[in-house]
Amino acid sequence: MRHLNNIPDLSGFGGVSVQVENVVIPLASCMLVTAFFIVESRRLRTSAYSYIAQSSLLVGVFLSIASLIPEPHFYIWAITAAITKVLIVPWLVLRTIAKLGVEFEEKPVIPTIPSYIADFSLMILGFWFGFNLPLPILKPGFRICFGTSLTLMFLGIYGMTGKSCAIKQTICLCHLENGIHLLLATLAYATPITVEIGILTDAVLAIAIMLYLSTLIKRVSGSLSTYRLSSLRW
Amino acid sequence: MIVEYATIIIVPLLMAITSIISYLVGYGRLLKIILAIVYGFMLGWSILLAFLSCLGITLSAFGMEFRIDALSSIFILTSMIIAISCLIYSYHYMEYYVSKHGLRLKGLGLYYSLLTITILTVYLMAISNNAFILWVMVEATTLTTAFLVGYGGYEGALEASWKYLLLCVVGLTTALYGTSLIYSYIFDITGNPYFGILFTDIARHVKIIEPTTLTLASIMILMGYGVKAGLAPLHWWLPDAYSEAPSPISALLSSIITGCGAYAILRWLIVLSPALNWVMRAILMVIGFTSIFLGFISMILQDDLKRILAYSSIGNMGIISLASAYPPIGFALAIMHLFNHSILKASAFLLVGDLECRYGRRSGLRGVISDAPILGFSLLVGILALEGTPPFSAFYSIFGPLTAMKNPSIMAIYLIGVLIGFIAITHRFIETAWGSRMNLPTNENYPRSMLIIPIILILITLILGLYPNPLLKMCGGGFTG
Repeated sequence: MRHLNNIPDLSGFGGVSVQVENVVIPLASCMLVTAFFIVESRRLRTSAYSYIAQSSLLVGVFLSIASLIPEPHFYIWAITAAITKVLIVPWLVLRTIAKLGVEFEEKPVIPTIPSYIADFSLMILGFWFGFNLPLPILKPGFRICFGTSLTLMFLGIYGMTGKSCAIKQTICLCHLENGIHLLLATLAYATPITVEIGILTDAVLAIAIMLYLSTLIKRVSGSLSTYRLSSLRW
Repeated sequence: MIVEYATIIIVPLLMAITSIISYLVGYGRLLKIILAIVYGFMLGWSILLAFLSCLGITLSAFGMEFRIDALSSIFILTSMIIAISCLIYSYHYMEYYVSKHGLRLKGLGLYYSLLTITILTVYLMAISNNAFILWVMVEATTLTTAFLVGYGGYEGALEASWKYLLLCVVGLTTALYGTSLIYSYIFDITGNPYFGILFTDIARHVKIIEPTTLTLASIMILMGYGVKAGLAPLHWWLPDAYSEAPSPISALLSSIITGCGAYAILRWLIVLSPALNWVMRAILMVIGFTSIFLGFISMILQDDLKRILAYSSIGNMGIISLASAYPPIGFALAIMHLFNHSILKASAFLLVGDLECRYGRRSGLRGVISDAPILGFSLLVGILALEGTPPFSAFYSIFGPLTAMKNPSIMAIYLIGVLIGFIAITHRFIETAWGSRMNLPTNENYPRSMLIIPIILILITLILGLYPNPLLKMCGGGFTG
């Protein structure tokens, strides 16, 4: 555990520093609150704004870690995340919403109350995995981030499958990508910047392509519901 | 030195420039000539790389970030054979396709641009020795091909494209989690941030990874790339994407795009194998058998020839997974089957594309031999070759895993699976080729030259079946490289 020993006193993940926990836990908790709004809000703009809030919190996590551990490239992560996740991606999403003139998402597959129950169950599951996976590498401070990351991933997957609206599914993918970046920040924070740039570029491109496809789906089928597209049967 | 830097800088740059030119120049004779020259050069280059790997030479550059070993070179060779086949086939087929779907002929520049980017991403994936860059490139192949799957712009194509993109992007996330876990563990122990990134370094440090972490990470990697490879039960996107994409893209998807998933799994398994325990082997076997039976049995329920071939791909990916459970010989057989299946499945999709051009449909066809003897006969031979009939090279890779299996029950179950696949696919294609002749209007303008490419692909596997030594040598080097 050499690299953790190199970060005396305030080692964020392995040393379970009080400082890191103090910063990361509130930010991670707020990310979970925004996750709920992203997945459950029927109004697409609210989902998009919640996503901006969540991405800003993620940038906050990056900045906090950068200020606490000797990994200067975390500042670059924070800047690139701010540009792509707080500015570019939300701009693309909001522009598509405006262009298509849609206000609310298509009727979701799962009704509201069962959907809330599913959200909370997935949150519990994410944290259960985060805290109980028999991985010696994961220390308690680290596990909070890992649990949050898993929860964001689970909720993202749930949103992408449980919601029928193409734009909502795209926003849920953005949300899932935030989970991935939180994971990278906690597990693979020493990777070269090229890796981070590659992963971010892929994420932005995936979202741009999905939004473009959403526009085509709306034009061809007259609706954004991907569940109405049923010309293919296995 | 020159070969290394040319492989890693000049060749990708050439493809990137070609992609931009394709988009800017637009579709026309000039573009066709440029593309044929560039793809021809790429094929020649991949043959050179394969030759070097046969001599046991491994190329690397940029501090081992890029490395071309036997596994890389065989995958690059496969990709380039398929790429040039799809390109030349597309010249005629896509003109038919755009007129059928009311698209602009000039807009085909975008199609060729995306095709070239896809080949570029596959190439970069194959030469990457960096586990994270490999992931980025596999994801990139999904993004570029999603456009190509939905190129027709009609409802079915868009649905298939959406499903493909959604499931692959989500699935690949799991692989990133697994990669990060392994990276993190090695970094944690060694303190060097590079030891967990490069495959060559991971292979050196794999034994220090704690078994539970390693098993969990391996499962995540298998699941993540398994979605891309179309392994059951993570295959839902595959039949739709294959059947709704233009035929050359179906050929590309069935061979090198799903191949990317299989390549990534094999690359990881080869690196992790010294430390993997029986759990991973059991998972590979379960996924392998599930894919074989689910894929091959589902073929019986299909009528659309492209969907039949799609389900056959799931079964064949199962064979690759199952073979991988028996290292080290299993790895060589898996690599070999990846090559054989790619070539033969691409050929089968292109032949179905021929049927589509000639009859305007790909289901309910009968008696093709009496109407178009060369097409019907090629179709039949191609399918028999695909199912491992000797003397084609797929025979070695389909029946080879039996030599590695020691348990007679497993051998029997595997043979039953292969037999179901053989019956299911040949039954439908024999009916298509030999059944009572149908009275369908045919497109007499359909160019017979479109048959040349799939026939050449079948002949490649015939030659490699009769003289298997070069292929066996390369595949044997694949898991030691």
